Amino acid sequence: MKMFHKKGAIRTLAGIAVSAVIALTFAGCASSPSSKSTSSDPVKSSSSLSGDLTVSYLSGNPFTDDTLKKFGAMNPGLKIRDVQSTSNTYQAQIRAQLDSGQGPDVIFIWTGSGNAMAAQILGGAGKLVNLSNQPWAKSMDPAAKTLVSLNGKVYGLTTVQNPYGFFYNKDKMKELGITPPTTFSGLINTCKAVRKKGLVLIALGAQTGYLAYGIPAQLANSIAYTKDPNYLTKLGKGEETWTDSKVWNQSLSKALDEYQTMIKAGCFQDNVTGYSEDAVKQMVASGKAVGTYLISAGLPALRALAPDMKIDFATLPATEKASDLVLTANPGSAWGVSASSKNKAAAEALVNYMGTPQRQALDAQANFGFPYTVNKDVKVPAELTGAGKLYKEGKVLLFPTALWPNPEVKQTIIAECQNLLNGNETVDGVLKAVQKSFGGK
Amino acid sequence: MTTLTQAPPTPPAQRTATRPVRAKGFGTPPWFAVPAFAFFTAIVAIPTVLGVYYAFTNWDGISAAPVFVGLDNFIQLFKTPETIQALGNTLLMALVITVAQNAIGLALAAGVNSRIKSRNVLRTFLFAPVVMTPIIVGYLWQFLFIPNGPIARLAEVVGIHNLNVLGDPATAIWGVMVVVIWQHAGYSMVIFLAGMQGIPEEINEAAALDGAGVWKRFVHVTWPLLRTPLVINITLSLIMSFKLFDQVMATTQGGPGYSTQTLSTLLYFEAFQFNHFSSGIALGVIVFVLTAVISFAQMRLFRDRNAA
Repeated sequence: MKMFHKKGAIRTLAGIAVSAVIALTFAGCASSPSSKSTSSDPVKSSSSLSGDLTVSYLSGNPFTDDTLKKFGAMNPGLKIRDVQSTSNTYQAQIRAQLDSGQGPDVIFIWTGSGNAMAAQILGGAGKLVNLSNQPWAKSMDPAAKTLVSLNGKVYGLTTVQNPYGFFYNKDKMKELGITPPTTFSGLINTCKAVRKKGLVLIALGAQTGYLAYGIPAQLANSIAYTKDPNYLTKLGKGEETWTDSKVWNQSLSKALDEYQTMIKAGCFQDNVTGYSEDAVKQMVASGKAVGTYLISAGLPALRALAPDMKIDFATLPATEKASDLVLTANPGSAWGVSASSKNKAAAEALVNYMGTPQRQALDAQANFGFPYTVNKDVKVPAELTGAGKLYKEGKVLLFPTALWPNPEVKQTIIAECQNLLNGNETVDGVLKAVQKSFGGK
Repeated sequence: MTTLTQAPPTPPAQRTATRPVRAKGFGTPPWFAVPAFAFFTAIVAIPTVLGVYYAFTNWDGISAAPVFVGLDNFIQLFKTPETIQALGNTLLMALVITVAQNAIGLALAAGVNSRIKSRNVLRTFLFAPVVMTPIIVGYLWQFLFIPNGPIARLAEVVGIHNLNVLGDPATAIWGVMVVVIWQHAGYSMVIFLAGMQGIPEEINEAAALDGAGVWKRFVHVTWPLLRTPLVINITLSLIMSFKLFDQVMATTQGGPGYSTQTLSTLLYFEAFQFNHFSSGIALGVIVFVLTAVISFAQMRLFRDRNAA
């Protein structure tokens, strides 16, 4: 009996030890220790900031790690603590902290009003500091400013925009004797020519939500731009509504027709809804497709699969004039300062540091994007050469997602486009469903 | 041959011998339970009750003062075709997964409950998928199911062309079910195996002496004595099926269209994508009630049969 008790006690102790190890492991995942810089980077101290500063962001972001390291080196009196989470837990975790008044000082947030951690939602709920008077806020790109503002107040710094488009294997293009098409009919002819040679021009991973509707959304943007270059600004400012905007509705209708034409012309592989983003990247890497439709932020994964491939970018044409080509870019993310921050001076200083033109340019380079504020001197990554010209000409439109009035629109257009690709929906059906979703619940 | 309908009675003397003897005057005082009760109340009971309350409000996940809206969230949910489709998908998945997972688990248990030399290796091998992360399993099968992938090529051999399991709305839900069943059949196997190993060898030997073959021994001896593991397995697989989320998100994200949307994935979209926290919680309440009612009903059914 005594022996039994001993064994039980050992078992209990072992259980506690295992639980403690597991708890510590998870705690380690949620929050890493202080990231006070140990860098040898010769950045001199720029201020006398001190105290604690907590910064929360999505894990796997080496550029932000580097930013904190450098900012820490500039401010040796500051103890910086980073809280990193994966995308599936970040929103719930940080929102709960903000709700209880215990949130981080500087927060990675989303632009627009698409989720509970978006700038306009948090700003409207009084969870973020008004940053309208910060130096970068005055020179911020108007479209980007719309996405992080509410009632004239700026709640976030948004730095990088990532273009969407056709990323292709340059050598494969040369081998097939083709060049990136600049007109819609040229695109269809290229698709047919490539198909005849047993390949596909665009490997499409329509199983992944954003890729199912990315092409029609980009084509609609291009068509709408030719009708009214300011259509998105008007919608963003509320001068027009998505439901009533004839420019948008007619453009989406034409874009969906073009999408169907592309399907019929064999621009994509068969059964596109069975392929994920990762699967189509493998198709390109293995030479089964000339290129794929992607957001530039997805390039590192493609690069990892094909380290030696010469990659370039082309925007998909929607009209018959090469001069109508515009770049569609993702509005992406932003940085805000918590209203409950106990060290607002340091938090604002960090955001201001992130907003300097030098840091924005480096951020863009690290994330295969472009700074929001058009910068003609920006160094364009080799993979984005085809996008650089349009960017420097200022021919950039935001991807409409962040300006949509509610997040249901995105989910609706994903589902409807997948049905369209499977032949289970008509263009009219997609249009009606999208139109209905603008009304929200 | 007589079919056994309940476990052979345990000799009363043995039962008395193993029962712990409680010394008079040394019973556990009720207040010993106070810390555990307080902990449970604070961590489980109060948040659960508050959570259910939020299903009847317009809480958006941020505002501190939600307004009571009665049954509005539930009415609104059942007005949308996506909820009806998600409910249908969840019920279909619960039925198919529960039946298939347990049938396969039972067959595997019968197979490894033998005296073959490699039985321990086989048990480990068959249980291995259970310990894998559902997301990893989902990604693995996503690649196996890819058009022109390994399964599509195998299908070509038997004359099925152009197979697009996860990309076709007609087959996607069955693809997800295959993933779930593959992962969890080993779990059912272990529970059935434990039940089988608890059956006294003498009963099987006696049946064999009476001339019963392997199949007859299984049907008339083993199966009737597996009622308890069966109830446990059905309850667990029902609960798991009603909460199905990870594998769906990893393979199809509820698509193509809404063809693989379940109540749990819809809950995620409502709460975390659309900011309709109260609707998300209302869906959680629906899942809870469905699981509780069906689990209770099946346990009641089995208890009545046992009593009969």
